[in-house]
Parts: sequence; structure tokens; C-alpha cells
Amino acid sequence: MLFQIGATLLDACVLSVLRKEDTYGYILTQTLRDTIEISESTLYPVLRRLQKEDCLSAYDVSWQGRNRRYYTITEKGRARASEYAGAWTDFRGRVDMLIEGGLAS
Amino acid sequence: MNTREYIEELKIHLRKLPDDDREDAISYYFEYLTEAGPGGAEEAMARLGTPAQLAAGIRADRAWEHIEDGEANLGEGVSAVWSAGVAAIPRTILAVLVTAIVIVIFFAIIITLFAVSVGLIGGGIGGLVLGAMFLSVSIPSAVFLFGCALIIGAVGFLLFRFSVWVSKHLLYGIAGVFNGIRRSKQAKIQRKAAKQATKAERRAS
Repeated sequence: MLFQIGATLLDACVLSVLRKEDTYGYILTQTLRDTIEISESTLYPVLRRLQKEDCLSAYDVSWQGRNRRYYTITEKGRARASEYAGAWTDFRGRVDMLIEGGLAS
Repeated sequence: MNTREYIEELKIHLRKLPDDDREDAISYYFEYLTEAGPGGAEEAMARLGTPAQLAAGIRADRAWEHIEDGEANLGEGVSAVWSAGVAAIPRTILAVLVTAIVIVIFFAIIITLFAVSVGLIGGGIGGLVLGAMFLSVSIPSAVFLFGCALIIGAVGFLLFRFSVWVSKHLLYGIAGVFNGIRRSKQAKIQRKAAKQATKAERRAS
């Protein structure tokens, strides 16, 4: 992939996926990996940070004798996700204008 | 390496973290690799890097979290950066570096041993000459000098023999290590060739 995904954009992606439904680390990583290039160790610190910032919380579910840690989005996380979504649409629109229109505005 | 072995090694490399941080990271990656299934886990482990590399990343993240929390701990930070740096050096380069340093240290020890023993022998010979010169002046002084010279010379001679013994064994040791490396490399190449041969056979049949 040509473009780097910064920390904020990655937060936006994680929060947006979790806005749809709760899921656990492996599925979350695979879902993101389907679209953007991230390594398998990228999400662990991101999930930790988002939990510390009260955007996510986690709960354990027993499944086939082992644990699955599900992540769920909090109210604060939802607010931030929609803030990011708005900012992204705005940003994307302006970059599109630059790329397609050059100097014309 | 299977998931359990990988996690065990990761645990060892994370031993310096506080217990709850270590448990948190271990349970995350254990769950991750377990969910990936046997085949997927192997691929995931290859992408995660060696347990040492993964651990270095986790520790660097932790040190960074602490800095952001304003509870920076210089020792922890330096140690995390150091192990991240060492983990980032490819294994082969690290091995060559360590080998070079060890060889240099060995040679320094050998050269020092020889220098000291030759010096002692020289001192002994010098003492004998000095004793001979004192013979006409004072016999007791000359005898005393002879005695000292013989002791010094004998110690030097013994040390010289010891230096020869040490250098011989060290050289054999180093040669042995290199032979071992060469043999394991050859074995690797042979294994690879055998694998390709079986693959070719399978394709043919």
C-alpha cells in the first residue's frame, strides 16, 4: 500500500468496525487486514490505548473452554467515531479536489 | 515452534514487565494465535517476528505509555529501547558481531599471557646476569639475586607453558565452532535439496 495509516486514522477504523458489533482481537485484526495493511501486532497497543481513553471496554466470553476477549464501543467511543467520520469525509473531499482539480477550486 | 512454545518464550522476554501488563499481553497473543488455528498461527507467528522481537515492541509501547502518563522511568525506557535495538539486528549479524568480539577478547587474553610470561623469563635472565655481576662484589647478594632470578624465570616459564596450552585450546574451540556452523549450514542445504527432490518426485508421479 502506497499510503501510511496514521494513529488517528487507525483509531477511526477500529472504532468504526466496533460501532457495528462487538468482536475479539483476531477477527478485528483480520477485518482491518482485509482493507488496510497492518501487521498482526499493530492492534494490541491501539486497543489498550482506546480502553484507557474510555472509548472501548472489554469483556470475556467463554468459548470452547477458552477465553475470547470481546471489545465493545462506549458512548465516548461512539462520539469520537462520528467525529472522526465527519472529519474524514471533509478531509477526503479536500484531497479529492486537490488530486482531481489541481489549483482550480 | 508451536503456539505454546512461542507464548512461553514471549513470557520469558516479557519477565521485566509488571505482572498484570505481562498477563494482559500474553493472554491477548495466546488468544490471537489460538483463534488463528494451527496453520494460521504459523503464518501469524512468522509475521509477528520472533518472540524476542514481539516482546521488544510490547516493552517499547509500555515505556511510551509510561512517558505519556508522566510516570516515565528512565531505566525502563532505556532497557526497552536497548532490547528493541538488539531485537532489530538480524540474528546473523548479531552472531557475527558477538563472534568477532569474543575472538578479539580471546586474542587479547592470549597476547597478554604471552607478553607477561616472556617479560618474566626476560626478568629472570636479567636477574641471572645481574647476579653474575655481583659475584665479585658480594657473594650473598649474588646468591640472593640468583635465587630471585630463578624463581621469576620459573614462574615465567610455567606461565609460558600455560599460555601455549590456553591458546591451543582456544584455537581448537574457535575452529570447532566454525566447523559446527559450516556443518549445520551444509545440513540445511541438504535438507532443502531433499525437500525439493521429494517435491519434484511428487510432481512427476
